[in-house]
Parts: sequence; structure tokens; C-alpha cells
Amino acid sequence: MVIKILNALIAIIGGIGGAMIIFWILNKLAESLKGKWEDRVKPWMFAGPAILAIGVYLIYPAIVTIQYSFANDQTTAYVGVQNYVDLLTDSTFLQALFNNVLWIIIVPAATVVLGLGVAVLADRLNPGGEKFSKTLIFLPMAISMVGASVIWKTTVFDYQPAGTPQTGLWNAILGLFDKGPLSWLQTDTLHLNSLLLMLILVWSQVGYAMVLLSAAIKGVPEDTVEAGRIDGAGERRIFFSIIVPQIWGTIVTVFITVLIGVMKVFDIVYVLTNGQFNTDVIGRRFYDELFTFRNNGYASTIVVILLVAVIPVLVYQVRHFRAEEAAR
Amino acid sequence: MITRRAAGAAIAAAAVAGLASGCLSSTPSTSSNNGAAASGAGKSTVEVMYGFSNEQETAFQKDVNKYAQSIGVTVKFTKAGSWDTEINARVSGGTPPDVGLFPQPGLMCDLAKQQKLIPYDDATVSTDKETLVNGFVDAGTCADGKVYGLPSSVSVKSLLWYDQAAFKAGGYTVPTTLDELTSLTDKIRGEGKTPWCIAAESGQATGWPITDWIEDLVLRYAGPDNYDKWVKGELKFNSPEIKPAFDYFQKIAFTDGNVRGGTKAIVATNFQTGGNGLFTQPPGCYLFKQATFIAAKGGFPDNVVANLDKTVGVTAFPAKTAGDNPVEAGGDLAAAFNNDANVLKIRNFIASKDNGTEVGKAGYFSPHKTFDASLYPNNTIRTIATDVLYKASVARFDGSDLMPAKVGAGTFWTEPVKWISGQEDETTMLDNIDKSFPKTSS
Repeated sequence: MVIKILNALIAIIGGIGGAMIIFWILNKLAESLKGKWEDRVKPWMFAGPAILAIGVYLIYPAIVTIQYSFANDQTTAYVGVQNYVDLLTDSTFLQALFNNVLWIIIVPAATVVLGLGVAVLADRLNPGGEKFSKTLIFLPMAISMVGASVIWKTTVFDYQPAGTPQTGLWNAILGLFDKGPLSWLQTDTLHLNSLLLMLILVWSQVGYAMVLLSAAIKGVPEDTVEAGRIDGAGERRIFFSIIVPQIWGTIVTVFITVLIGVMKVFDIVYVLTNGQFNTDVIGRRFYDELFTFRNNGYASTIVVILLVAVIPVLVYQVRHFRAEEAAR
Repeated sequence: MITRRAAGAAIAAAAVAGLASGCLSSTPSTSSNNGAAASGAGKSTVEVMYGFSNEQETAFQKDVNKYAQSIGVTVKFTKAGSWDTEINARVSGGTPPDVGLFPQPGLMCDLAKQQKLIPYDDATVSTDKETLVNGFVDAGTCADGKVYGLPSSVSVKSLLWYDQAAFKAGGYTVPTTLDELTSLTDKIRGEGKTPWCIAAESGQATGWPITDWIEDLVLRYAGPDNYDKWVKGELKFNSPEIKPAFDYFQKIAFTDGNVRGGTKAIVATNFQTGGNGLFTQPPGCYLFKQATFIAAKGGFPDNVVANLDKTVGVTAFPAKTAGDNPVEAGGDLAAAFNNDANVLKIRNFIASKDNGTEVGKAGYFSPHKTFDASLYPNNTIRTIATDVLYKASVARFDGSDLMPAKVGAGTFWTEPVKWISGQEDETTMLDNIDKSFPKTSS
């Protein structure tokens, strides 16, 4: 153990030291060039290694994944767009896609609205109460998704056959009213089980939204609010016409961060239902295709579909960021 | 200003490089030669990788260490938390262990096809065949006809559990044929009681307990030869040979009043605790089908497990005709990745009848009929060993493990779950599974 730690330390020190020496040498090399060329080359000397790292660890795998998506399950021969045709005509995959759309519509919006609500209301509490309530709501952030899923499954959604003590909270409550136990996670009427899974993600993400939005609200200049009051605006008007426009940037950032997280959702669905009972999402389907069914083609195809779906969001985010920077 | 920015960039980039070099330095130092040539005298350290845990793991290590010491070899034990994922990663990373204990032959034969494994020599196979329960050698035989894996310890799945006291009170006799099982079911239901507990909820693996039901029934209705064809995809799920198994299950599970909590409860009731209804007062159910592991901690209630022999009754899952009792088993197949004299010695020992003393004491079955049954920890385990496993006319491995994962860990779990929860009918389910069966046979 000690040796392992020492090894790690040596690796870190050696790595950082080595990298610094490399940069020092690169810098010297650039300086040895004459005149204009020094200025032209120098930025590349410093940005180069980072670009290389991104190229090797991000761009290259992405390209290979796209390539694999046109190949068969063992990646031994090209099959054209067959993988895309197969998946997009597979009713279970379309079902998963539809569930993803539900997640995308519901979760980021719910998280932002709830987070904003908590942030606004907590802002009005006394400092002690604010700290306490915010801490409480932020707590779930500290639990891993898998842990959170197991907690919800065993303490809230748990189902025991009728006639035995119900250990799940909701079924215990139903029991108080002499209602039979409901198998929550197996009931897909109106996508109930999917909604319950979303609830877990919202529960764990509201804290994140709240912290950022709360900071933004506190950053709203008091005089703008006061000016509104003097002009006779009500609380609601102040909130929607003065506070919200000023924190809009933060709202969009939180929304997009949660949105990207939701598009990749996997753990909650994997732990609680493994996509059965009509709760599948494509992130989980990808895992199944790659690790259970060992089908590189389908797995890569799903990743590419996800990639394509994420691009507009990323483009919007970058644009939005640039616009904000320009406005500053 | 420029220098400060440059320094910042340098530090950031250095951190990236540092991480990268950190990763590089953690490359495993053990590398094993995968070539066909035996490396002479033999390695002094042999790595054995497996997926089981707890008492089985400790006992297994004791057994193997004892032998390894006698031939002067050190064994390095590696436990895989998730066998398929980790063994695939090790093999594709070029650093497989020396010996692997495959929980099912499917993946093992995939790797054998890629020539990653060393087959057993004929002498070892014929020695082991003498004492192994009929069918286990076939289980480890891959497509090229060579034996790549032989079982070290097995679990028995074809079991019917009941509560001794409840059975006595009801005046029921233990069924020996499927027809007797049906009439017993009808009789108990006729008395206004619930005959069955059936539980198939297993988190992300929900549905697998149903496959055990179906496999046992296929083994009985279609016979072992058709079972093999079915597993390979040569017989369809909706074929006249296989469908009766589903029909029988439907009769048991779908008849009103047969299952505790009704049909919908099956997929919502956890497989570990689903049989606990046997022991409630009054009994929540009278019959439960599950593998051996259910009679240990985590399965039946603690007070039942503590008093197993006096409380729990167990019998072979009824046969089609009395006496002809096929058994469905799971087990760990020892296979070698490395053609090295000592590696092969260790592997051959693990699969031999001499292995398993400690593992047996811990309550895990040796697949060898000659195993001293008195070593097993209690009568329940002993009964399963002598009356079910060693008396079996033929043993077959869990079929869903052998099917392509797309079916065996995919549609064969999910489609019956849809069937049971009322989302589709039997024909649709069977057709859907057949449709998902990969066209190219391996």
C-alpha cells in the first residue's frame, strides 16, 4: 500500500516535473527563433500538447466510434447504414428514444423550476434557516446516483406481497388506507415508473440548481429591485421582470448542464429497472449492446445518435456563452 | 503579464501531462504469454481469477493453496466483481489470468473460438468423466469438439422447496412428477390456500428466475437433446417441442389463486425473499422453486436458515416420468489461458475430484459423484447432493447463460416479464424472442 502511494506520488511529481521541463524546452526552442517567428510559433508550443491530448483522447475515439457505427457487431466488416436502419426500426429502441425525450422535457425544466423556487424562498429566510434548508436540499448531491437509486428503491418504492409488512414508504402509506400494495416500478401506466425514476434525478439535482441560482439571485443589484418597488411593481412582477432577466444566463447554464446530464442518464434506470417495464433509455441500451450483447456496431451507433442529439445543445451553449462574454 | 499567462498555461498543460503519465505508469506489470508453446519448467506464480465471493472464495483458496504448496507453486487469487466485464477487459487488454473460473460456458467458448484458451488433454477428460455427473463434460465442450472447461463446484437449480410443518399439517405428499405437481397445486388452491410463491424481481436482472423455470420444464418436456438444440437456436421458442414448457408455466403461474399476490406480483417480488411466504403463519404459500443458494443467509429468513434441517423440505423439481430426473445446474468451469505446465496442473486439480473439500464443507457441491457427502454442512445440502445432483439422469447447464447474450441476458428475461405483467400474450412473446435470436450461429 505504502509502495503504491509512493509510486503514485513519484508518478505525479515525475509527470508534472517532466511536463514542466518539456514546456521549458519548447519555450527555449521558440525563443531561439528569430523575430516574428518566435511570436508565431510560441502559442502552438504551449497549446500544442493540450490539443494533442484532446486529439488523442477525445477526437480520435469519436472518429473511431463513428467508423465502428458503420461496421458489424465484431467490427470485422462494414455494413453500411444497416445498424442505423436496424435500431431506428426496432420498436424497443424507439421506445427508449421516446423515454429519453420524456426525460429531456421533464427533468431539466423541473429541476430549474424547483431549484429557482427553493433559491427564491430560502433567500427570504433568516440566515440560519436559509443555511439549514439549503444544506438539506443540497445533501442528495453528495450521494452517488447508484446509491440514491438503491435508497429510493428499498425505502420508498419497495414492494412486498400483500399480507406481509410493507417496508417501502409509499406502500406502507397505502396500507394505512387499506389499499393493496402497488408495484411502483413495474407500473407503466402513463409512464408512472419512468416519472418515478425522473423524480430521483430531480431530487438529486435540485441542490445543484439551487446553489447556482441562489448565488445569481444574491448577485442581482438591490437598487434595480428597489427601483421596481418605487415604480409600484408587485412581488411577482419584480421576480419575473427584474430578477429573472438578470439571472437568465445562470438559468440557461443550469438548464443545459442538467439537460446534458439527462441525455446521458444511465445509472438510475440501470439500477432500478434495467430498462424493463417500458422505462428504457438509450444510455442504458448502449451499455447493454456493448457489454451484455457485445455488439460494437449497435453500441457505436447509439453513441453517434446521442452525439448528434447533443450537438445542437452544445452549439447553443457555446453561442450563448459568447453572447454573454460579448455583453460583458 | 505575458509571462504569468504562459506560466498558467504551462501549469495547466503540465497537469494534463502529469495525469497522462500517471496513467501510463499504472500499466499492469504482469504479462502472460498467450502463445501455444509451453514455457518449459512452469511458472512459479499462477494467477487464478474467479467471480464468486464470501465463504466459497475462502474455502476455494484453501483447497487450491493446499495443492499448490504441494507442487511448489504460489497462486495469486484475483476476484472479479463483475466476471464478464472484467475477463473481457483482461483478455482484450492482452493480460488474461492464467486460470479462469467461468460461471457459464457461453463466454468461455467465445474465447476458445478466439484461441485464447488451452483445451484439456484427453486423459484428464476421460478420468474426470468417470466421476462427473453425466452431462458436465458436454457443458465444457465447445464448437470445435474440444473440452475447454470442467466444473469445479456447482449449484443445483432444479429444486422444489416447501415447509415441512405446513406440508404435514396439510397432509400433502411430495410430488415426483409434473402431473402430481399440477394436481397438488389444484388441491391446495381448492382448499382456499395459495399454492405458489413465484418471485422474479432482481433489480437490473429482473426476469432471470423465470428462465430457470422454463429451462427446467424444457429439459423435462423436450428432453436433453432438444434442450441443446433449443439453446443453440436450432429449435425455436415457439416450436412444438419447446412451447409446452411455457404452457405448463402458464398453467401454474397464470391460474387465478395459484400465486401469492397474483400474477403481477411475480415480477415485483424479490427472488431472494420471495420464498419467505412458505414460513409465515398461516403459510403465504406452499411451494417455491429456486436454486440452492436460497437456503442460505440472505434467502430464507434467518431463523429458518438457522434450523434448516428441521424446517425446510426440499426435493428435486418433479420429473415428467418418475425417476428420470434431469438436473439444471450452474457451476464454475476451470479453463486455462496459458499453456504452461504449472498452470495446467492447477487447472486440472481445480476440476478434479480431489478438489472441493473445504468448498464442500462450506456448502457448495462437488460435481463429482464420488465426493464424500458427509463433508457437506447439513442434511438439506446433503439431500440435494445425493438425491438430486448425484442421482440425476443428466445434468445441463443453465440454458440462458449458454444462449447468445442478446437472448439469454436480453429477450429471454424481458419478454416473459412483459408476458407475465400482461403487456403481451404468449405467442407474441415467443415470436419476439425468436426474432431476437441472432441469425449466425456461433
